[in-house]
Amino acid sequence: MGVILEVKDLKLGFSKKPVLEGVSFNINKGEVFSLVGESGEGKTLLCLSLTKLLPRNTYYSGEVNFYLSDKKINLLNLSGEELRKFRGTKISYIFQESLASLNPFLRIGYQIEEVLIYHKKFSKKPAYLKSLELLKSVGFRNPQRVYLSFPHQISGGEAQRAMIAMALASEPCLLICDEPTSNLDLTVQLQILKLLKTKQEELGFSILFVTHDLSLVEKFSKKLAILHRGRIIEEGETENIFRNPQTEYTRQLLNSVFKL
Amino acid sequence: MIKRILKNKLGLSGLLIVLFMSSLALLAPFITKYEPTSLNIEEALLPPSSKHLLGTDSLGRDLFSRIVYGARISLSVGFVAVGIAVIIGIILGSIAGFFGRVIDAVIMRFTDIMLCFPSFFLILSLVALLTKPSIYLIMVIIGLTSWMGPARLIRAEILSLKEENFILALKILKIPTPTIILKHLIPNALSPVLVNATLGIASAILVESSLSFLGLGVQPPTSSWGNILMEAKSTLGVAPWITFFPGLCILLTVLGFNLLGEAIREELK
Amino acid sequence: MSKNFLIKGEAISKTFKLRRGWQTFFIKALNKVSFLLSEGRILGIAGESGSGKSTLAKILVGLIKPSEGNLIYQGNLLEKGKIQLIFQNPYTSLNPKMRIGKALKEVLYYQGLSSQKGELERIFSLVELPFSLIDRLPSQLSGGQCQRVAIARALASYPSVLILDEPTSNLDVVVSKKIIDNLLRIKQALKMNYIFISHDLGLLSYITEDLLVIYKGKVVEEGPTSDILKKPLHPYSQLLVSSAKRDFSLSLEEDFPEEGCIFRNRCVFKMNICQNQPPLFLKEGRKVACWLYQS
Repeated sequence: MGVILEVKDLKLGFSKKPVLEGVSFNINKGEVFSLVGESGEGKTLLCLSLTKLLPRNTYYSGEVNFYLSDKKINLLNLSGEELRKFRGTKISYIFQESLASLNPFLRIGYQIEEVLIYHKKFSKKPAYLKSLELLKSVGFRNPQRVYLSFPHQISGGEAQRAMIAMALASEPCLLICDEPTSNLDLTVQLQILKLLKTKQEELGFSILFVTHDLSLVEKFSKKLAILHRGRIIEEGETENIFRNPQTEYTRQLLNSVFKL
Repeated sequence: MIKRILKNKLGLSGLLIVLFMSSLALLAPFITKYEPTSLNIEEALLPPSSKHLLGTDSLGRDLFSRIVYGARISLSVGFVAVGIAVIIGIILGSIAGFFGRVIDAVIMRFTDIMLCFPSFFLILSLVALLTKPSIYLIMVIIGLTSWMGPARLIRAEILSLKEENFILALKILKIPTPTIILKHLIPNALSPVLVNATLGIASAILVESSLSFLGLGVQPPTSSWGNILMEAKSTLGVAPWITFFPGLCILLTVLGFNLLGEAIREELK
Repeated sequence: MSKNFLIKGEAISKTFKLRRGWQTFFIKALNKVSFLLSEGRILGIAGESGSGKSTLAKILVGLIKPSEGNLIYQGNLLEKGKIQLIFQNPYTSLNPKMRIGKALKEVLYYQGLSSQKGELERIFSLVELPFSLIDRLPSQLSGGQCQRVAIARALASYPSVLILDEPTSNLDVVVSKKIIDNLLRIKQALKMNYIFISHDLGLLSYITEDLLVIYKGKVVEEGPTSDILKKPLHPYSQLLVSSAKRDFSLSLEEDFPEEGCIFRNRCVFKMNICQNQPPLFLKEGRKVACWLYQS
């Protein structure tokens, strides 16, 4: 197993406020890596910064090294045009507000086809068939219905599954999930997590799973890092951290989770 | 919020213009050498000089004094008329928005009827019906014909705010309804009305100037920017400054309020 | 056996009428829900979105009237404003333009109580908020602090019952625990009674003693919290518990039928009899609406 993403000493912030003060971690190929932090810690900004999707007045430094067929590429050094070869293709995203991530004026099917046509150079008919196939593979028993639907016609859980279909359409090496289940019902959360886990085992991509919900992480990912005050204060195997937390903050987090 | 408006260059200019005109009006007695109504035929139609800052009109009255005292008229008509319109609008709009159903329907249909009248002609007709239009009546008439905008804005805000959690919480806490409307709903619904009111002042100033220009507003010898323009019509070729300066004041003041209103609207987005 | 009850609901149903253009839809948010809030015991209501739990909360505090059924309160709890509601989103439950001290004083005033500094200090210390925050606006407070203010405001009316509708769902884990523990201390100090509505089974297991599981407006299981969560009987309760435990070995379905057992299209134990709506059967000290438990 090799490394697919190496973040080295990433510093990030706005003119008056530092957000990340030197974050470093590695994600291996085919690994599920979770990043846990409370709201306002900069988790979303971190996710976006990995492909340089930063707002205008942010400063940043450090390295974000992506390993592609034995080549090491620092994404932070690339220009917009070069980054487009990675964003949405090799590295895909899923966000918290799935309904906000979808274009409300376009049918779901069309939005999935866009990915296939633009990134994978499919032509119209094959794109149509493949998008139906993708919708089926994320658990829709009636992919035609979802294909023809507009985002407001489907539920939050369904929208999240459609997002996963879109993200997987480009066959990414790394899927970055920014709190994908936070707005969903309990049973729907389980559905989405199960889908992600199944797809990950089937297709072998890596997942960076960012959340504030520690209870999600225990059975879902092998490796875990805790983000607090702009730094990674603890990192390692999930099991070890749960059994033997090294820092006060981690202990506090673990104690605050209501166990069943 | 005022600080942020100051950062916006256009808003800042608007605010400065408004403050400038307002201070001119307030300080009128202290900054003018002559009375606005004192005649001096010998000094008629003089161009701007060190003696008469902006020149004199056809009756020898100092134009600067006339304009500065005219600012009082225009600005007070603007503020008071809009004040009346906003108060009527808030009352009707909040009752319609809060109580809904039949009351809302009745008030809104009444508002629609009022909106059907072309406002300026309505004002013209009302003013023409009166034998002697005083400045106070003009303020009231403009106010009575421009409350519809604020009413609809407040009603819309209250309709949506009504269902907000904090209003529901107040109901559960058994806070009396009048208190909820006055202390909680209306203060949170005022923002769009503030924009509307600022722009409305500009509009009211234009209406008053137009009325006075037509001879139906403030009557001479009291000076208003509009009636100075009216009297200047006949001497336009000989003494263009009598037309130019009041016109410039109207332009600047209206521009100032518009810029300020736009800046507030941007701020509230 | 009859302890003092504070609120009793008997077959509460609520149907909403929605008009879209010229079509009228009827949405049955609650369907014959019965429950009992006993003095001193915290009641929990477990439900996901669409279960009707927020509608139930609003009915309990008198904001909405039920379409059918009986709601019985002990004494004049409802008229006197002795039942209060804490909302999910702490920011939208406070007037954004009013300083929190003023908001509290307002409540005290209309309750005919003194709004002296001492009284305010007492309430602030109850919700464990520093008194220095008294002149802040809600936008200047964190989510956790806002929620504490909402609780303080409710306490200022000296309620007997607090209904909490997902009170910590929008808050971070550490802050949530602190607030929940605070609520437990308030219960001790003031002999307060709570109804907790949440989809977080962990939270419900931590704080509630009796539990009602609601699915699409119908009660599917009812009984002591620890019993239900340790050994859930109704398939939906089992699904909730497995989801809370993040158990990936389940399979899940999609559709909900109109008649009969509301859960049957998602249920792995589906039988022919499930075409009919099951009543609540008594089993092992609780009630379950499932044909599997027909005696």
